[in-house]
Amino acid sequence: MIRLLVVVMLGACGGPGAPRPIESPRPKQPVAADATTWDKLEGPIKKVEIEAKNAKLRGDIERVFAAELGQPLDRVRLRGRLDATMKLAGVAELAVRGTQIAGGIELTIEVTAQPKLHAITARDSAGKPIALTGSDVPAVGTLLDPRLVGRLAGALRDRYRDQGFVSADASWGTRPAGSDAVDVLIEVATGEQLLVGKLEVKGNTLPTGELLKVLSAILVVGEPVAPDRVERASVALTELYYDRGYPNVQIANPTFSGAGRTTIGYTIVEGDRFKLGAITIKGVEPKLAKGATFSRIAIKDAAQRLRDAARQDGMANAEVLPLTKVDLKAKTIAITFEISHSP
Amino acid sequence: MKRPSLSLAGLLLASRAIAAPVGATAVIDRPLVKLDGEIIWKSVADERVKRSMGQLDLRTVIEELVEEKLFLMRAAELKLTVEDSEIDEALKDIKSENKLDDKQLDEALKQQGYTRQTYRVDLRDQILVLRAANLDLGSKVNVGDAEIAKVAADRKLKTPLSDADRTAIRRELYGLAMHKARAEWVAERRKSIRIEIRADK
Repeated sequence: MIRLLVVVMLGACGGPGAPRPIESPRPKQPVAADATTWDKLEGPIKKVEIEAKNAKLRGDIERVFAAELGQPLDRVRLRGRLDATMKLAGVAELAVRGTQIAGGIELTIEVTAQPKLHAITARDSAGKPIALTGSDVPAVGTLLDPRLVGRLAGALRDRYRDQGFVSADASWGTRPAGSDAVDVLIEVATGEQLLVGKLEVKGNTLPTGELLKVLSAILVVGEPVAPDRVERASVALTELYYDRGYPNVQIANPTFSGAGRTTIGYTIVEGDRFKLGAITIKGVEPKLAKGATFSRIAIKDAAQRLRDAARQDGMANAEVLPLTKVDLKAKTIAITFEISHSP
Repeated sequence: MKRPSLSLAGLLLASRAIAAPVGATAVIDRPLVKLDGEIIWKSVADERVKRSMGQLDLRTVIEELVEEKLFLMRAAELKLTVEDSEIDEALKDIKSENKLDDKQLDEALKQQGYTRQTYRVDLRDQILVLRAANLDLGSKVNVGDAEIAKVAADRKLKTPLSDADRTAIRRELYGLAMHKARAEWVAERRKSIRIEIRADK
């Protein structure tokens, strides 16, 4: 749903995350004397002052804001320039002040530069150090890049999750390390490791053994419960159902029972079983029969055969589109294979 | 209730008349929230609070903006994009649904503090948020026939359900399920992103 004019959004955030050892750089407080509000400032922008220690950075930012000179104050336009400035390497934070001067406004851009990375370490919730290797690790001596550190923390979290620590989380923070430098510490709260103990399915009319065979090919007993494998197992079950006549099947998020070796339970809502209804062919024979059990893969194969046949028959660019029409009462799905080609 | 004696136009004129004296200083913009280096500017929150016409306070708006930013960051990870033609199409739908011509749309946008250009930017973000949410959560949000039947029974609707009733209930349940899934996704995502909220200044 696109928000228009009346703003209706789904507020879904909780409070901020767990406390972290944050010591990030912050800009100076704005001058309180003779304070006003931005909408009281009048006239065109007559001067832009950049407050940054680094001369190169100052020059780069001056170029971004040069086009503001002579313009009336527009916070939306300024925001675009602030976003562009934040993308410059080494910028930690920005704030814009305006001062009423004779005949216009003076803009002051307060720039806080990123500190240098003095050291970066990681540890798990037991205090055990985690080795940081690879090209994703920010280099010591470079300017702190929060996006890089955030990505690295996410990668560490995922590494634990893949090893069965399904509730693992990672957070990071900085501590001052001399002037203009910080140490970064990434902490991974691992939680309990889960291993595949037993697999269960419920809600099914298809043979349980057949379903468990599909699951156990992906989720091996004794191995860690990896989120991507759990997801792949759900997809594999869904695909099996698609090819057994159940196009409306739903597989609920699996449940985990017990710590350590856990039982993973899949609840299945099969929905109705469909057979093929009328087969309408515009072109060549698809080798599908009315009354056969619906199978997504069979339809895909039929479409492929039709396409190949059509192409061999001189329609070099032929494409085949299976169009379905569901009859809920009759529990059938009629299919029209539409063959298109451009001469 | 006694009507205020000063008209809105008069108030506006009065407020414009009190211009800042030379030497007065104001903060024009600053970061309100930082998320792993991404910024939500104070001006964005101010504009949304103003647009809500008293419906939303700053805290609620911050929560909305953080949720949107998390999905926008996800969209960037997934390299999702929105074509200009898709924004044109969305604008066309909006005009049609609200029975507005171009002039009326521009007027409505102006009242909300938008220009056509800034609204296009906002629309692009909204589409990206929807796409990221659908991509990550769409396959996990299902509405089963049994759930629809339960709602129909609770509401004592005539069965078998008409297609229109079935579709309406499915949409409603899908919306609720997606809302819940988004909330869970955001709560999970917040754990791994360093979020600093600076609403105190």
